[in-house]
Amino acid sequence: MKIGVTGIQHWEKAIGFGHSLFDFIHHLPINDGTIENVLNAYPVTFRKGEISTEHPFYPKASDLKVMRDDTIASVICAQLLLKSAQYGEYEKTEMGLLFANSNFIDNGILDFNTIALAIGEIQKASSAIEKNKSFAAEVSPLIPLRTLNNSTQSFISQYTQIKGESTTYGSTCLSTAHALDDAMTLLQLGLSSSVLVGGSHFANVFSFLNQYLQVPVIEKYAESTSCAIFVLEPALQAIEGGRDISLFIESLQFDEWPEPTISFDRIYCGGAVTAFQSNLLEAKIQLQFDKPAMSLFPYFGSLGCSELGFLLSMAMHQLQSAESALIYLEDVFGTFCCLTVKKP
Amino acid sequence: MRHERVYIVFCETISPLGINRNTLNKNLVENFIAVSPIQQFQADGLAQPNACEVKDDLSRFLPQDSELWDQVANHDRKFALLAALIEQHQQTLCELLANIGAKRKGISLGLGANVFPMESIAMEVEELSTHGLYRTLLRVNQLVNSKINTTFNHSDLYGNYIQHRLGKVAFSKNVLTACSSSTQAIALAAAKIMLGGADVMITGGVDSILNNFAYISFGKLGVLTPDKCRPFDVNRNGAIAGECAGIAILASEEGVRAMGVDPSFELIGFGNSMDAYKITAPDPSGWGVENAIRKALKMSKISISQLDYINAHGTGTRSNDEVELRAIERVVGTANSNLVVSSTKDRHGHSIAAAGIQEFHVLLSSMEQGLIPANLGIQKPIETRLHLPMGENIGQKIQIGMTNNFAFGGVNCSLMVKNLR
Repeated sequence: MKIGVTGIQHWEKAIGFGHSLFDFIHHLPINDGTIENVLNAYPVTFRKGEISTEHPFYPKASDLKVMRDDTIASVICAQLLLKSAQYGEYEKTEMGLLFANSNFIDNGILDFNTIALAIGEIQKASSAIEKNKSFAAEVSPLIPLRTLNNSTQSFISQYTQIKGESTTYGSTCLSTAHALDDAMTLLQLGLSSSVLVGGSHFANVFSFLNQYLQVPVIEKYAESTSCAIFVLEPALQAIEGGRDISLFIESLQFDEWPEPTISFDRIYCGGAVTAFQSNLLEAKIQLQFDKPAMSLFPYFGSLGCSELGFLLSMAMHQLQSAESALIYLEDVFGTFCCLTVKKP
Repeated sequence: MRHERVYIVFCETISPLGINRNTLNKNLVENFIAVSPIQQFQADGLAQPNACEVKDDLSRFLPQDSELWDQVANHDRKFALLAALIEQHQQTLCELLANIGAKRKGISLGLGANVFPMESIAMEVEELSTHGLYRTLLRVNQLVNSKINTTFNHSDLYGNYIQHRLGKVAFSKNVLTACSSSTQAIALAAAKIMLGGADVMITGGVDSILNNFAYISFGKLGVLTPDKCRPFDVNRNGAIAGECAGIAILASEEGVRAMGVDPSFELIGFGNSMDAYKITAPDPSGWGVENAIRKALKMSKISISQLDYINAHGTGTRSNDEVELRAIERVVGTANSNLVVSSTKDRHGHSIAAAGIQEFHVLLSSMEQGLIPANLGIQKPIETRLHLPMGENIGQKIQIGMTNNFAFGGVNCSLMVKNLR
């Protein structure tokens, strides 16, 4: 079964909603995010989410208390995507939603001053009863909801009414490739008529703390709050439904390079969290294919689980008819995947 | 579309009902209820002082190969449970997997939220400020010169550790859908085999909220019972927390041949659906739950009249149990008066992301022993046409069984198992 990408939407502060990454990329400054000097020792660049509340698809106020910025962006992107790709109510009941998230700690938890207060109360307590009572007083009942792994997927579902096969994956950039892999399985087994696949990333100190031990050199660590979502559908069905196919998914393999006999018109790579790692990745691709690879790291830093969608978007706009591309993603543990796509 | 058959060739858990299948079997037969005062942290003064814990000393099962793993296990109960499980069954698992090439096997695990070891951090911190906390977190993480965080474990740690102990696989996926995580992990592992994308999948999951940060947070949501878990009882007042680590090995016919085993069970179908309703409550119409069950039946190519037993999600919370029963009633209609429904969470508690593998194992154990577990928490059942056994387990062969799990966020998943004996 030939599977195609029928639409893609993404968000990053510099690009906004509904714009083509390709149109922006050459005008973007090299990463201009805010540098925070974590502990006066680690300069880390965070590009945070600043989403306009004026957007017509902006979530309702009652949901915002348990939404991170990447969740808000994902909910808006998903609605834009379904609108532009013209999927109807019936299709949404059979549509799958496989989503990846980079980390699950929200603004509330990251308010370390509040945590410091709670810890102070614990330290002052002279008995377990006192400790538990004071801790319970500091803990918000919203914490389990704010840290719910599948909250972004759930909110997308609520705002779009997608009701089919739905799952959340985590937590490295490769998780979106896992979502893509399972989406293709579900389509081929006939369990979904189409699948919304995507990922989002919330850039913050917690994700730095979570990953810095895996980074070879603490050098120019950078990451960006972002999201990217695309629709997969059996090609024949998409054509019959009058939808354009932007890319065909040719193959997806994990921890295995493509046959050396296969050549690609373009190569994209991602997954690095530091400039050092990004350079290393590009050098690795050059060595393997004797061809340069494009990385988005210089513009955004790590895009986490959004990275695959952003690279697909680049391929969609840069490839000419019948050209193919390799998208190489490597996570902080050195596990990698090779996705090959082709322009119709 | 015709697809590959999926066999269940191995399943083991560490849970409050036992550290392996033998103890689980025995405790199911003897109607053991694992609820007792919390020991893993000081729960004095909490409104919910009881839970279902693994009481065994896990340190005796932990691997002896590295001080590092001890450090990780000290901060992360989930890791300790999983490592202890693998240590007990490593030889069996390695023998099973020996003839399967890395490219033909994968991992699909259901996991919960990141660990936040608040109490450990509180003991270490010297300066109560954002700066002081960062510094403490970095110092605690750097206790050992390693690429493993000892405090904030990445979800990938668990799959990476399984590969460290059992050998390399082609891919390792983490499914993170709260209470249906490991149920979905099993379903997606089965899908991979059905399509021929793998011959063997290592699946299951692990979770524990029995630490003060997670437990107190959950308690404030109002979903934990102050006394006893009573699924499907009119006076039910909440779930009881549990914990579990579990691993199942699923295989295609090719995989079964390569392993040289004669499996007793086949995973014949699954169903997933999304409520698209509210983040904390199931759709009161039960549409999502009903849809997941119907999809599982459809994939299994069996009619509802052939289903013997449903191990229900049955959390003992006000909203879940009623919705689940009504959804099952609608699917069953008048087609199967022999169907038996029970929840075993009153015995082993709710192990959140590991509930799926916990109850999958309970279902297999019930099928193996020819018994249907009774609802031990019911005194006055919710009014229903369904058969909810109370008091005594039923001695009856289960030919076809189902297990359900539903999660916050509206994710529903049902698994269907056939007894091949």
